[in-house]
Amino acid sequence: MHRGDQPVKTDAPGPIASSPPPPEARPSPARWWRAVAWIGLYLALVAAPLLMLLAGPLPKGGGRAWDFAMALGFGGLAVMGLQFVLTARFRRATAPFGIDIIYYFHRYAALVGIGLVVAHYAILRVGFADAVGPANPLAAPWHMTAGRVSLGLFVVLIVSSLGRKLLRIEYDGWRIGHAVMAVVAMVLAIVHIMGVGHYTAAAWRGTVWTAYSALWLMVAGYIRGWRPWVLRRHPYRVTSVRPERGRSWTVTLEPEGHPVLRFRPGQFAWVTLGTSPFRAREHPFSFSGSAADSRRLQFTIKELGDFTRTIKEVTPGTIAYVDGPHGVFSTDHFPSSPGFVFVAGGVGIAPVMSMLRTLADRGDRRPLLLIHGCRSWDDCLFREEVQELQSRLTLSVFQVLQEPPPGWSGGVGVLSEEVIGPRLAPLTASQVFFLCGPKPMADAVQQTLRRRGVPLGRIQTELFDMA
Amino acid sequence: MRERIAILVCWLTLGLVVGLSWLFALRHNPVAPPPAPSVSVAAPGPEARPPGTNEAGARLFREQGCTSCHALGGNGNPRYPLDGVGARLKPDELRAWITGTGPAAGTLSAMVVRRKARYLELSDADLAALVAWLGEARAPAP
Ligand SMILES: Cc1cc2nc3c(=O)[nH]c(=O)nc-3n(C[C@H](O)[C@H](O)[C@H](O)COP(=O)(O)OP(=O)(O)OC[C@H]3O[C@@H](n4cnc5c(N)ncnc54)[C@H](O)[C@@H]3O)c2cc1C
Ligand code: HEC
Repeated sequence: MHRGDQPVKTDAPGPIASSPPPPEARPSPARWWRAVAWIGLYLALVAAPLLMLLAGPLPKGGGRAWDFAMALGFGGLAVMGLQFVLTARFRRATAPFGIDIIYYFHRYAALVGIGLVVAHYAILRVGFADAVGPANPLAAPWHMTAGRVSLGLFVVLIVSSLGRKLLRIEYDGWRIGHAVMAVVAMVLAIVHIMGVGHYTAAAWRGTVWTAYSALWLMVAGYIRGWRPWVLRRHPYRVTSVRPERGRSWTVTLEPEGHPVLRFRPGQFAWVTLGTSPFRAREHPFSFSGSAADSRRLQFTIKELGDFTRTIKEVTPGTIAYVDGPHGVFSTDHFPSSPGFVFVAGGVGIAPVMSMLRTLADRGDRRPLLLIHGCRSWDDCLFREEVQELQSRLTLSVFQVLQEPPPGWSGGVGVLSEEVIGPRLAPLTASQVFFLCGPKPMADAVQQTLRRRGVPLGRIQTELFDMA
Repeated sequence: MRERIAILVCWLTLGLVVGLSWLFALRHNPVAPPPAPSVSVAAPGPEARPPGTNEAGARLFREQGCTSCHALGGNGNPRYPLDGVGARLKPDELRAWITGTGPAAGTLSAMVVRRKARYLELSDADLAALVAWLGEARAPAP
């Protein structure tokens, strides 16, 4: 399904590849066309059931409002079904966009889908109450009950996802509930359509429809079954857990019996530590090591919550699985940029370290600027290594501390316009900017850059939060 | 920028589905749309009901789920309106169509025949009430 056309080899979801990425990234027009093609495919898949309804002889009409409502139902279900495909992490399809934006799209597409399904129900409920029949499941035909329950589940699904933090739903529990509800809601919706049967009764439509529905469920199977299975066949072992500044730890992994996966500096992976990939207990972390290192992977992880708190207790020898690489946050996509500016907040330095280390290993001498926001000098993650890297790179560094020590000569405060604006000003004409850190920081820096006329195409951001 | 494209694709998706759905509704109903059905209440009011006084028939028509496939007097599924059916069909024909038996079985799809099979279990009195009630449905669609 995904024989890679990317330099980073991506055949199976398996984290294996042997050819190192070439120094030149692919030209960007090709990436644009690929993106357009994938969007086209998405829209075609959304339209497919409706085009199928339009093709061939139609059964007797029921009035415009009625048939409009019916078609909306089919469209809504197609959008919902494709939600599975969006989050299946098909690397080839997500590569031109960056998987973070696919998840972003997934959230908004859910609103489109639920909007269509609610409109389907509302038009019928208001205009044709007798046809919809009683809500009481004892009196209603089973396929109507299936439709109602499905709609209810979709609503719960969306509310619990968009409101997860407000409702204080714990991540791992949410994730399992989300997957289960999604599959059940989808199956019930298909049951509803089959039960109503009006449009799917004609033999060929029934067959095509069954195949189309089966496709969605196969994708769900791929995510929960095939992908973890492939991951399990490419295990890694923890070789060290090294404490760093700022309540962070660097975990080093080495592959067991297969070549290490290759990535572009700045990318990330979903990492499972000490448990089976089938349990879906994975967390996204940026590669922090050099992409030129062909023996091991490094992740630098900050203690922030239930899972990351346990990193310090991880012992060498622990089994690990790595689903990646993902993401488009990488200097490799800009081979012709005259230089780069990195703005990192806290542990947001992790992907930046990967880019700096890789550029150093490749002997790249383009001018670089690193702006790093930290709480205190003690917390300033990787500050020693950054200093060492200055001898191997054309790198200037500007650290901004919220709690500066006496006599501090760097920046003070947060990464606001006043603090970093003057540093960025001379660079806005040509450089590519990489922002990584908490959302308020990334937003503030992005606005600073936009006000100075930097086009969005030259501002690359990675948020450490997908939800 | 990628965020903007994502939102744009969402709008495109919405536009595509709504547009195609409308196209479908038009192709499916080429003539002017039938008058928008009145917002119906659970029980059709006397004025919405076709002429006839057979309360049992009207009640059965709703309770037996006929409205999930048929409309009468603007209430129910507009796909298969039964308005004026009383003027067209004789009582034994009505009975056959209700139960999906006899010549009717040949025209109806297998699924509908299955659904209608349960009406064979209606008591003779109930079936007679339905037939009598539909027999009085002589008015054309509202
Ligand atoms: C693309 C990307 C790259 C990242 N790179 C790094 C990195 O290099 N170093 C680093 O320290 N952190 C990184 N993070 C953040 C890291 O994934 C979260 O801090 C971690 O998953 C939190 O887990 P927890 O159980 O300790 O925290 P919790 O307190 O349980 O969760 C805090 C919040 O983190 C998010 N989160 C929790 N679990 C997951 C999960 N399994 N998948 C996705 N989100 C989750 C949720 O929004 C949750 O509300 C990255 C995140 C993303 C999206
Ligand atoms: C599953 C859907 C369904 C249900 C439920 C259903 N019918 Fe039908 N019925 C049909 C279909 C389809 C036809 C054929 C209509 C056509 O081809 O115009 C039909 C035909 C008829 C006809 C003949 C219409 C005509 O114009 O010739 C009558 C009368 C009828 N049904 C009465 C009933 C009654 C009374 C009930 C409830 C007891 C009922 N039906 C329940 C689907 C249904």
